[in-house]
Order: sequence, then C-alpha cells, then structure tokens
Amino acid sequence: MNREQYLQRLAAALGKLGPAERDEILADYRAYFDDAAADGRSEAEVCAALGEPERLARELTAERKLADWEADKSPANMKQALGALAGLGVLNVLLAFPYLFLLTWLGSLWLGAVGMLVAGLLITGGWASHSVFGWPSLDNIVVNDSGVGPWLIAAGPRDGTPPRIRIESGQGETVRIEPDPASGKLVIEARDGDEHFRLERDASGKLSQLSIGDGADSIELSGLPKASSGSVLVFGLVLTLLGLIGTLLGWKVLRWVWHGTGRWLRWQQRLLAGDTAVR
Amino acid sequence: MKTQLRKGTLEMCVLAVLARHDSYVYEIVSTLAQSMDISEGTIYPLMRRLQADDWVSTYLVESASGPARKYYRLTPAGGEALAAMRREWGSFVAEINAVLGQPRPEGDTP
Repeated sequence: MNREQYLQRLAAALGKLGPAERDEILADYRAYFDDAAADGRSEAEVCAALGEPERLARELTAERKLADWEADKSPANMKQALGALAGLGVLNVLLAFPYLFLLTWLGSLWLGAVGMLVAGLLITGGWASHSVFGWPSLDNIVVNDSGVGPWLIAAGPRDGTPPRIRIESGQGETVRIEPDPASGKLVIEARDGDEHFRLERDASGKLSQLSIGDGADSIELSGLPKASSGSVLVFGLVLTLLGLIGTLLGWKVLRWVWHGTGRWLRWQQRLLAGDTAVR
Repeated sequence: MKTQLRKGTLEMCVLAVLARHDSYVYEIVSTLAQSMDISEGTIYPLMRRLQADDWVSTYLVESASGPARKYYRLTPAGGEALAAMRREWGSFVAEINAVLGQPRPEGDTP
C-alpha cells in the first residue's frame, strides 16, 4: 500500500464525519507522511506503522460521536455514539439487554408518575371549579373504600341516552357500554379473559354496583357512598403530591442513568484506546 | 508486563513530552518511540481527545518547504492534569516499591 491508497481508504472510511473534520484529519495524516518521508522512511513502512486505516477511522469516528454526545445529551446523539462504539467492539450485547430493560422499566414508572400528576391536577382543578362555579357536579362521583380498584369513580352525565358501544377483539377482550331502555340501567364493562371491571348505573343516575375481579378473586360492591367535596379535594391533592414527587425523582434517576451510560461508554472507549495505542 | 504497565500511561507521556516544549505529532511519536513501542496511527485520536478535553491547543507554523505544520501546546488545564497524573504515578511507584522491598515475614518459609 502506498501513501495515496492509504489516504483514500482513510477518507472513504471517515464518511460519517463532517467534510471539514474529515479534511482536517486527512491533512494531519498527509503531514505525518511528509514528516516520515523527510525522516527517510518509505511510504509502505509508514502505512504499516500507522495500522489499518479503517480501524483508525472507527476510533476517530467514535471519538467525535462521544464528544457530540457529551456536548448535547440527546437521544439522537446517544444513538450515533452507540453505533460508533458498536463498530469498535466496545459494546457487549449481553450487557445491553438488562440495561435496556432497566431503562424501559424506569421509563414506564416515570410515565406512571406523570399520569398520576396529571390526574391529580385534573381532580384538584375540577374540585376548585366545582367550589367556585358549581361545575362539574360531584353528584355522580362515588367513593370506593374497599381498597380494590379505583378509589374515586365518576359516573358521567345523567341526562341523555348514552350510545351503545361494544368492542370485541375476538381473544376474550371486550369493552362495552350498554344502556337498557326498559329499566333505565347502564352497564359499563371492560373484560380481558378472566379479568373484568364492571360498573352498573341505575335509572336515577346513581352508581348501583361495582364489580372487579381477576379470575381468582372478585369483589362486588353496591350502595357505594357518594364522595364529599372534601374527599375529592384530599384525593386530588394527595395524587398531585405523589405524582409530583414521583415525576421529579423519576426524572432525576432517569437523567442519572442516561448520563451514567455516556460516562461508562467513554470509559470503555478510553480503556480500548489504551489497549490499541501501545503494543 | 511492561506493555500492561505502559497502557494507560500514554496520555501522561504525551503531556510530559509537550511540557518540555511545543511539538508536532511526528516529533512526539519519534520521542516516545525511543522508549516505548507505540502504534503510531492511534496518536491522532489521542491528540484529538486531549484537544477536546482542552488539555492541549494547536497552532500552525509556516514552513519554508511544504504546507504549514500543526504544533501542539500544553494548556494550563493540561499542565494541571499532568501534575495530578505525576503525583498519582509517584505514589503508585512508591507503593509497589514498598511491597517489593518488604522482607518476607518470619516463619513464612515452609
């Protein structure tokens, strides 16, 4: 291999870098060949001493992508850095799976906390609006103090006939809302195999029965007490507080794991660089 | 064993060479090659990393023959990093020497 072939192969392998950076690197290696020639070394000798150009390009690319990630810790940059390091053989697939699992698990926990925060804010806001404007009405909200299923249940508007809805997946999953014009009853039910959640509302608009079960256990409740204005507020505030704590804490943990990943990758890359630099 | 020990000290060696005087890559490699067997190509990724860490900076010097040459200079931050590495290296060597120089505890021979 001569100098021009070496530089061509290096240029081709540096395709993932910007043109300015690529030109700078090529100029650096060109200067190296010049200095080596002035030192009396042959081109072939220098090519061999520099090592495989593709290998060098992978290291230079990984260096750039990691620096980009350190400057801006976005998922896109993380993806680029992971791709570049996979090329270096730094990433261990066996380690990657538990890590992805952990990240997904933390992410869904965090989303749950955000959902709690949103629900808490909606309920607290609803209570405030009820106290000031008298809307929405709390008449159709009942308290489920059995410890199973949702704690507060809203039955929805009393007037008008709700639409009849029935959705079936064919695998035992059903969602149905079915009014019975004769008795004035309304049944709202979600069923997935043995698990079900079923609400019955009587003609007066009152929730008459709640049934929750998972196949092994099931609970039936009737005559649920109506929620007082105070209990709605307490519920809303507690939900908001828990959601807020979960959201902030979860965000901190997620950020910590995310940044820790970057530092771990950088550390691995440095170890590898130390390995290849010295023979 | 010598190779194992040299790994990870390359950064310190490059910084130490630059602490003596500003230099360009070929000269740095030649200096290091006198005492250690390094892979010449990987010095560039290393120099870029040192530059990204702001431990070294570069400037161009016009030359009579051919294009301008890129020189590397140790930054104050690089000087501090080198001083920290020297201290660490010094204490490491002292610890190992202490172990090697320690006489065998009595009654240890079977």
